[in-house]
Amino acid sequence: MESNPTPPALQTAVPPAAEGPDDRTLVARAKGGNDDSYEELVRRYQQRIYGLCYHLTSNHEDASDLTQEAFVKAWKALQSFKGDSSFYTWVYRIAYNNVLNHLKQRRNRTPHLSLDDLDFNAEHTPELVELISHITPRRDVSLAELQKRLNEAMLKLSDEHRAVVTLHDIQGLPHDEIATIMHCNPGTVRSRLFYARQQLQGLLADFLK
Amino acid sequence: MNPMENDPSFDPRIAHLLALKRYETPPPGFPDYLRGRVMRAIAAEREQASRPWWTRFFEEVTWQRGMWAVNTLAFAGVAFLAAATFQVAHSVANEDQEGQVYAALPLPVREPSSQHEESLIAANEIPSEYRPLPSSGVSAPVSPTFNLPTTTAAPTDSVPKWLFNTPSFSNRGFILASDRDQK
Repeated sequence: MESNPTPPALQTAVPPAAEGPDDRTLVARAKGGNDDSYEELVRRYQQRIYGLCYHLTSNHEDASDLTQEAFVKAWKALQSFKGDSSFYTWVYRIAYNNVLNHLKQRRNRTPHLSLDDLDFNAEHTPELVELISHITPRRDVSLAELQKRLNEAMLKLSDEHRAVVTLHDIQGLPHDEIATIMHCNPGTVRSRLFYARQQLQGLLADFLK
Repeated sequence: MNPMENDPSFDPRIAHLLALKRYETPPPGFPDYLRGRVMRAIAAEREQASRPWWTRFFEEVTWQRGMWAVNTLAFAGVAFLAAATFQVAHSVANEDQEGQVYAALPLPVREPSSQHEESLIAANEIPSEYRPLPSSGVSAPVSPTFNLPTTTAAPTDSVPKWLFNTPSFSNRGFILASDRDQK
């Protein structure tokens, strides 16, 4: 049997140690006008930024556009980046604010659930199969149905609650980092996470019986 | 640890459901596509920033999708207002300038010449063809004549001459028959 690549579920919040120069060096070079350095930064974090945008919007096209906007805005503001936080957190904050503005502007637009974006290979990952069988022992609910119910429940959360669930429960960021990204204190993050989970539980209560 | 984080009431199946979302990944090849897209957007931004600001402003305002008609009308309105404002301001300035010129310059002073006076006197005389007809007593219309004011030289050079151009006995602006007789 072929060995599966590391599934996304095992990705951790802390960015993996990248090969080559560290972020600080790349940022300094990018500030000096080196586009290759900035492209390397984009390469390192685009998937996570895209993930944040996607889980907050549940729309592939919007997530692509918002990811691009976030990196372009970060490039424009790169000279003002002092290095107080990591580049990773800084870009995350830009992307988060960008998505919030986008959601406020298009509040009344019907969200499009991109359920077809699920990686086909991941569907056969043993870990995922185990998860599905654990949740739905009788296998009477398809994976698409699972996703649909979850996405619907997520979209019923407020933007802040959905963001904190996305950052913590999906992307695995620690409370402190989420607090930096969301411009609030860690206590607020914990509180929001608690209430978001309670809401999700209520929304999925019928499904989980 | 925070009690909220390890909330016992939180169903672990929810956590598993959320973990499922980690598998929602973009299609293969998408990261390369997205990175290229980002770098192209940055190159476009840099190219845009290197252009003059008015060019960017014009393009930004003029070529927004679906707004060209509105923008065209707005531009026409603004241009009309600007032209009208300029015209009004220009005419007011001209009036002021002319007024200042008239106030600053002395009125032309001409020494009365005998030839000029003769012509004026002649002009004041009613031509024979327009004299009242003795037979009917009806006067034919007489064409109006205009007597140009005659002025005298200013008494001193320090005082503007135009101050003395006001009508007076010595500077009447018209010629009496006695003047002619005196002459």
